[in-house]
Amino acid sequence: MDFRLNEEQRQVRDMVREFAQREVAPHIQEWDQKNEYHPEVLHKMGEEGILGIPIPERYGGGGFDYVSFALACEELEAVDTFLRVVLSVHVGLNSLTLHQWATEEQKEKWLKPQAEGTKLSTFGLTEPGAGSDAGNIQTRAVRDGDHYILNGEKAWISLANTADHMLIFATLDPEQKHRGLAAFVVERGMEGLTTGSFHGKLGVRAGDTGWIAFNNVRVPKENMIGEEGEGFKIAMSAIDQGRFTVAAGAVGLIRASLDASKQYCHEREAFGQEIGQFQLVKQMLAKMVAGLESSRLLVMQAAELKNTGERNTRETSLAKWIACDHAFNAANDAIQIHGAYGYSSEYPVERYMRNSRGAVIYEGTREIHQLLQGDYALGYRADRPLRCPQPPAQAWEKETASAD
Amino acid sequence: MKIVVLVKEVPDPNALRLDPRTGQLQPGTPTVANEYDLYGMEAAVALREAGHEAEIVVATLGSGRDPVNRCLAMGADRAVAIDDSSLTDGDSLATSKVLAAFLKDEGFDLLFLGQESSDSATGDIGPRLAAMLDLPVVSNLIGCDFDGSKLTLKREIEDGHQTLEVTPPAILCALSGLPDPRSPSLKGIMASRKKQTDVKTGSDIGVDAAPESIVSWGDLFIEEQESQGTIVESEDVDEAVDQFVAFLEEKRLI
Repeated sequence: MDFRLNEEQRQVRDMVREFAQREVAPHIQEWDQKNEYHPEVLHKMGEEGILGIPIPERYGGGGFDYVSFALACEELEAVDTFLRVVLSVHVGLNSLTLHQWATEEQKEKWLKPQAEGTKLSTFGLTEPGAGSDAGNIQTRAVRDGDHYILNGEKAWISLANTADHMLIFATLDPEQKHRGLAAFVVERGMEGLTTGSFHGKLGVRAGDTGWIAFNNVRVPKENMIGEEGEGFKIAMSAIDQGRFTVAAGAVGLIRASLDASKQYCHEREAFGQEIGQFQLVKQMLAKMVAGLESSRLLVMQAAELKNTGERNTRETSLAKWIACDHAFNAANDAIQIHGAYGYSSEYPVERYMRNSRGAVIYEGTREIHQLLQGDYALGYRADRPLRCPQPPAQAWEKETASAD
Repeated sequence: MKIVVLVKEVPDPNALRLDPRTGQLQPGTPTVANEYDLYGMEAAVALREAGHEAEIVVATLGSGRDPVNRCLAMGADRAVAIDDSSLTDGDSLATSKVLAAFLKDEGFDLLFLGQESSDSATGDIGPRLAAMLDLPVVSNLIGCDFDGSKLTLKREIEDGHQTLEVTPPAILCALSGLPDPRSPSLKGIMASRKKQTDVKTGSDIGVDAAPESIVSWGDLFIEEQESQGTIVESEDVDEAVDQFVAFLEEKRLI
């Protein structure tokens, strides 16, 4: 087992780090305080190729592996969560899902411009009345000739007001619960589609979070991804990728909390010595180090499985749960170390704590992940093969094909 | 125009881990491309971006591929790795002889390399190559312009700068006063996957036996440094201020 990054992975990490430091770090405190959203940053990410990192080159992406993708998420969230959220919805939940489930024609039409960064995308599963209970969504899709007519509302959707393409889940038959779902690509500009913003969020205040409403939106049948009734499986595949990005980003947030705390420990003196000399402060730093490294190892375990195309639902869930819990605890302790200053926006750690809180809820709540892990451990849950298994990373494609 | 850039793999100066018992670096110490060499690489790419048609070849002596891969991602067209274990442990004289043999074979109009490497820091590879190849060398390079026929070069000297005009072929030793090396773009990293790295041995470049070294290295150690402060002791305020100003002037702080 080799824990070292290769040169390409280091180059991707350094490039993304430099981008985030240059384009966002000098402004983020102000943007966050003013609830300012800057979509031009997303367009720059597209121009730089960041929005297509793990998508194969033949679909307009970079063809980088999942370790590189995780490092990119880590670097973005080390600066601010809103940046990583872009990779979560545009790449993790949407583009990688199209890569897994869409037909070649659909990939050409939607995946390629997304990977090239010329179109932005999002993912709509959550509704005002259905989050963890995804089988209970109420957005209806009714077949009408060569179209499906969508009615309903999606809530807590990142990039709701920015995305050109939306991967939307709707029920064909509410009685059938999760077996009645289907997935559709809905394009901005379709008649009856409206979007709006949510305000008053605890964290990720520099990001675009909102709602999408469907009022008799006519979606061509060619826009359905997968088959009727396959929507729930597609959504769960998407979440396997989205959770991965959230976990990898949480590693960056832990790192940011640790770095800020280390610096402050050396700067601040109390009772005649650096506060880092106090044992209870050291304990908080030690927990951050443990959280950082254990979370990163779990993320990289999932990344290696994804690289080879092996099923990784359990490992990804574990990484997401552990990393997000550690991120919240690290940010919380970072405030404690900073004392009263940590409670103010003069230092970034209060932003880290507000940003970290949401990830304990979205992409599977902490409680959902604990139930999953318990079920796996007890043998109550096993992952069945999918009609369209998750494709390996580009560098492993030939290897996997010959193995088949 | 053909530009060759020499790049060396060195222990990461920010992650040095010395084993005091063996006097050697600990196994697993991470390696990076020598920083000054990357300044040379950046200068080479910048010349091409300024509109001068150029093939950029990056070359390294040793088994490490990361430095040349980085330069390929920065914009080099192809790479050469002289990967022959019998040739890698020599001193700067022996190393220069190997590199000179390669460079005679490869040919170039401009050769960029770092002023020195961060590990051995002899700083004499450039001048030695210049002597062996009978070419001009400009060291301590901090500025580089090309008008299509001659180079206008700025070099750092004691107490100031010196500007020189040189007509290629020439050897240029880069310092960090040049523009910072770029991080490879994702497109650059992707393009580097398709670029060629030729692996050569000593016999491929006409070096059949390792050149003799005249310098050998002892064990490594970390120099103990005690921090020393300067206290202005005069009780006369005007005199103390004069002493303090004199101190600052001596240190060139004002």
